[in-house]
Amino acid sequence: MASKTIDTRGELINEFNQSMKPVSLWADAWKRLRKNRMALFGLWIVAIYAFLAIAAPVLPLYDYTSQDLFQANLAPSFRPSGEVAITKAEARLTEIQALISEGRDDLAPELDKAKVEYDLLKADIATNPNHKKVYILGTDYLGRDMLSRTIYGGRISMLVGLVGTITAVLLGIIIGAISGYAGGRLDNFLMRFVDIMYGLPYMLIVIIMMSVFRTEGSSSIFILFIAIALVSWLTIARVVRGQIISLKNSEFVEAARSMGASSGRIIFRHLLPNTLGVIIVFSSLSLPGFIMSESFLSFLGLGVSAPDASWGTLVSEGVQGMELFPWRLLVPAAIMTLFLFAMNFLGDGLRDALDPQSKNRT
Amino acid sequence: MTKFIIRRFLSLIPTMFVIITLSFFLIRFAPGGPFSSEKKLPEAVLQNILKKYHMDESMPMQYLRYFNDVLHGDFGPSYKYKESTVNELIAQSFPNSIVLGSVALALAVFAGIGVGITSALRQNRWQDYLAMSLAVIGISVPLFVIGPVLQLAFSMQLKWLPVSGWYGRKWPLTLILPALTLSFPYFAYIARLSRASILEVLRSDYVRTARAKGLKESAVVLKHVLKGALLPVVSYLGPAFSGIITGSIVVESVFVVPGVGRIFVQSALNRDYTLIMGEVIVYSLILVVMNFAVDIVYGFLDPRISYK
Amino acid sequence: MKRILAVLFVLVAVTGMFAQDFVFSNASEPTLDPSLQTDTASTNVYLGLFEGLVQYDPKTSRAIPAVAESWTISKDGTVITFKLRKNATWSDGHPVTAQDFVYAMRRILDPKTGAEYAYFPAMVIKGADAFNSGKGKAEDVGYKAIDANTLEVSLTGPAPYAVDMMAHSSFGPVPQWAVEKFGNDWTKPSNIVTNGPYLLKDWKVQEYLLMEKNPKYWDAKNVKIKSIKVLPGDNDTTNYNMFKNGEVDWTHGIAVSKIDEIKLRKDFQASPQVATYYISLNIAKKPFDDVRVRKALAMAIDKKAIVDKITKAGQIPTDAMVPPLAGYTPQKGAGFNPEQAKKLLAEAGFPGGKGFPAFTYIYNTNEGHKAIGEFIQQSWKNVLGIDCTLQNMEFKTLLDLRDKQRDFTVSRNGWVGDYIDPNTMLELFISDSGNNAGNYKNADFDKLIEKARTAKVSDRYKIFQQAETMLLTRDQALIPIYHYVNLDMIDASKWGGWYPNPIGFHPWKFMYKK
Repeated sequence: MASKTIDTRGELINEFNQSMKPVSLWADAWKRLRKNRMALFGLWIVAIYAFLAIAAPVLPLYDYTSQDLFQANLAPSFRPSGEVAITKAEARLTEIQALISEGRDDLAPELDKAKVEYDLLKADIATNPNHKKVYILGTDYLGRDMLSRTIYGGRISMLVGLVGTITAVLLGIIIGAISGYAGGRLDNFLMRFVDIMYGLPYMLIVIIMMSVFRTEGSSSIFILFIAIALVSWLTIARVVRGQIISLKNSEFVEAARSMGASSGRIIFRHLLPNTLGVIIVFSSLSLPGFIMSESFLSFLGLGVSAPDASWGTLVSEGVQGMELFPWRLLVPAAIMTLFLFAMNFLGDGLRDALDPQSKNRT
Repeated sequence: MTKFIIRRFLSLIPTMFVIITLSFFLIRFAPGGPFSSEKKLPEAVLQNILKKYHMDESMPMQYLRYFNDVLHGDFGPSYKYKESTVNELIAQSFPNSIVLGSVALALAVFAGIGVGITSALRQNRWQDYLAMSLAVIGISVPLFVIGPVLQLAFSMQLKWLPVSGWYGRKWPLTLILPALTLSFPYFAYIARLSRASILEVLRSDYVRTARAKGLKESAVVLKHVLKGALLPVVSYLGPAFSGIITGSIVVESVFVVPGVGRIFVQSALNRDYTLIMGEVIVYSLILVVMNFAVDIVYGFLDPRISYK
Repeated sequence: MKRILAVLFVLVAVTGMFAQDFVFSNASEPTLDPSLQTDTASTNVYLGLFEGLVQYDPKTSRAIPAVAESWTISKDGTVITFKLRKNATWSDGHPVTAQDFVYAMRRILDPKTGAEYAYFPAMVIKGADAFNSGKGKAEDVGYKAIDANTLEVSLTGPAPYAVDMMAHSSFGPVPQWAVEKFGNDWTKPSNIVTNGPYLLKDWKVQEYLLMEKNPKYWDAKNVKIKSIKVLPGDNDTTNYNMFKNGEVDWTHGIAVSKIDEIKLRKDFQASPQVATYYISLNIAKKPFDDVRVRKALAMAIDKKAIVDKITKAGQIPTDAMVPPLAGYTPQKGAGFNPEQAKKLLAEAGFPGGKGFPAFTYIYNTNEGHKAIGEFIQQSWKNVLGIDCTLQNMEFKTLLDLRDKQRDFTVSRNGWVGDYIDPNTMLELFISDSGNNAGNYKNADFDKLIEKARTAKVSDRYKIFQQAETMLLTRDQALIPIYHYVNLDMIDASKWGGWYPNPIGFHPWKFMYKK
């Protein structure tokens, strides 16, 4: 490990003569993070996603709400959508004709319908400039662009993930740390409170929230955040508490205590940094949960309202017709999974970088 | 220690009391009632039904009546499954969820810890990346995608396994797909958690000491690392176990498993008050007891913890 | 591994030996007690286990003889006398008598039973409503056993659809002795006494229900299928996969998202239903109190496009509330006409949608409702320049908001007729109806519906047409979108006796394997 490093005074640094520079935890962590390739890759991806989400309105995307039923369920292609639609309509005609020649005379009306549809489509292509659009990631059931729907969906989902993670980490750390450090009655009280929150029927709480705070003509995205924040911190609080309990009697805490450090200082300067690893792993693990729980909450009526979408709703729409229109599942699922991958590697990198045991090691 | 266990155990009683009481009133506060439907019932008919279930009484009265019944072990009749009591419904569905959940959790724990150890010991090598990628997929792809995809692959394309078929009792074929699906996210969680904590423990002083003493690496891992590293996994197992055996709505719905999860969601949507209450009580009971057990196990697993 | 697989396959083979003849995916858990049933899943099972006075004709859904061999209707149409067959027996050997029907009727109406479907017989049976609401006596209910095999039924008026209604489970017979002996547990497999073509063999709630041919059934020689397994799974995709894999013979309802594929299958069955998908407009709210606004909103929606390109399962686009019935011509509201829509909206004071207040369109969470809502939202935006927000919610929240509190502006709605007659589709719009979500209040309309109740059979349809003209052609109180179709998957080349029909019930006794 780095025996060739030269410090500012021009001396060779080795394991034994390392000088303890007053480098802050964060600056030090950033230095180490930059060396971790996977983490950097994750950081880049996350940055790109963040850029796309913020810049979406000014990017050259098709309107994510604009429908054209002639272009419903088109497969991804670099050709103009009119051609793709025609190919699709022709394939349908051939399919029905083939079935009829196999003796399925009952499909004759279906064939007539398909023919009429085909002619209408041809006529529409001649006049409607919409058919010149290119949908590189295909279209959904109303002929809307999957690419822009997924990007706009990402805005919501990433925001949900962010809010969920932040509240989970903040609340979870504070309550878990206090509970674990204080022990005794306070610990028992706080943890029983967590138990109660686990036990209450969450679904009905959400239903009540959504009906109480409903306002005509506006969406309920803010209540969605509250609903997610409400339960997001429970598991992490229990885990942090467990870690704190196991650490609080160790030598370094005893040492700090004997030097007269306050409880707050012991918790935040000594105990929490040592649980950071588990906290980061937990938050990167909970992130997908938050993003998906949005689609469950939007089933109950909390969350984005149509025609807006989120990754969760796009994926759950896509999964039902996946044999027929695989891209409607694969596009949002792949884009979402890549983001979660990136977040995970970034989380791992952060964990390694922030590890207090590797502090000041080069 | 004994004193701690007793005190900790006694705290379960007020916890359950608060959960039951809060839930009782919360449930009734939700919009809609058990008997609202697309065709609205005439007022007289509705009144008859309310009377039959004592729902015409005052709220406190209903609560006392219910609480009294619960203390006698009677969860009352279901409003939706009119010919069954809540006790019967839970008794019928619970074993199915326990079977499914235990198999899934066992799969998840073994695979998860195994993968976690491998990955920690081979940190930043290809085994690590592969294992962690698998875990990320397990946690990022929602169950409602994994389930249908597995179904499509193994039942529709390969035709190895039945689409669903708990009803047919084709054991253990019917169990494979749902258990596999259900285990995915838990596997991922456990793999990631155990990797992280093993890495931490590997660097700790007592492991260094053990190594310095000249213990074989395998012995170090088995004796010291594993024991210390399992703590976060154990504290995760409490909620995980109560979560997994009380059923998963998605898996139970996709594979038509007659478990508690499906009934729970349906009862909430149906506003089947008594059935929701019954499920909440059973679920919370398992949860608080599991968390109780976890707290106790903590004490044994980690020598650093002492209860005063 | 190979050995394990071999063991597994042996296991499958062994358990497979006890296979049943027919597997039906019912999509929901049934209730067995005829008096307590509320949904189609229960009626589907009722048709196997019990037999009423009459039952549904498998082709037309009209009443045909069952326990009753024949019936006569009095001249004024208010009294029906049923002649019961002598060879009908309960599964425990008791003969099925007129008294069993009287008992069942009094039981479902009894306030103490708390039966949700009590309202159904109460619509047509004399004295039923009074008894059910605690104002009358059981003895005054219009069900009289003249002797063991003669039942006299008195109606509230000359309702020509009454006999058809009586195929429904709420008119079914109930064995008094079994109910009194076992109480609420009388429908458990070990206790239940039934009189239908099938016996209840086994029932595991949420898992399956097994019916087996009843050898004591009076027409047992014509019952072909020996045993039927009924599954409660409600996941469309799973049900469809099971059907495709041959694990299920008939599924009720289809996987809508796979309609493009399903539509070309020969085992896909769609049949028009007496049912309408419509949009409720809250007339009590401005500016929806203006008929020009309502008409403009209706004219902006291309219903044919919805049916052809979104729902795609053969639904029938409509501008009327009542579907076409033999002898009844539906009276239409405004049809698709964007130019006229713009003009009307301008006349109402909102040229190009300017100044139109923001409002929300609510619907219960469902992929289909969502797609339709999104399409309508876009249509109103493009044609009229009106902005509306879509909001989905779970069903009971919607019901509370829409039907109970009536605190909404525009809502998706749907109505499935209980019998084949315009009355079932129109009476929900009378002023004090609990289902009149849009608050349509029109005394003349109320009078017409009331008049039809007692009118001569030959005049009724004309009166209903007048009423529908008022409701839609003149007032456009709602926006009809399409008439529903029953959607089923069953291979008609393998199973006979199953026909697409308007009510969507398929009596088991007529079905056979080809």
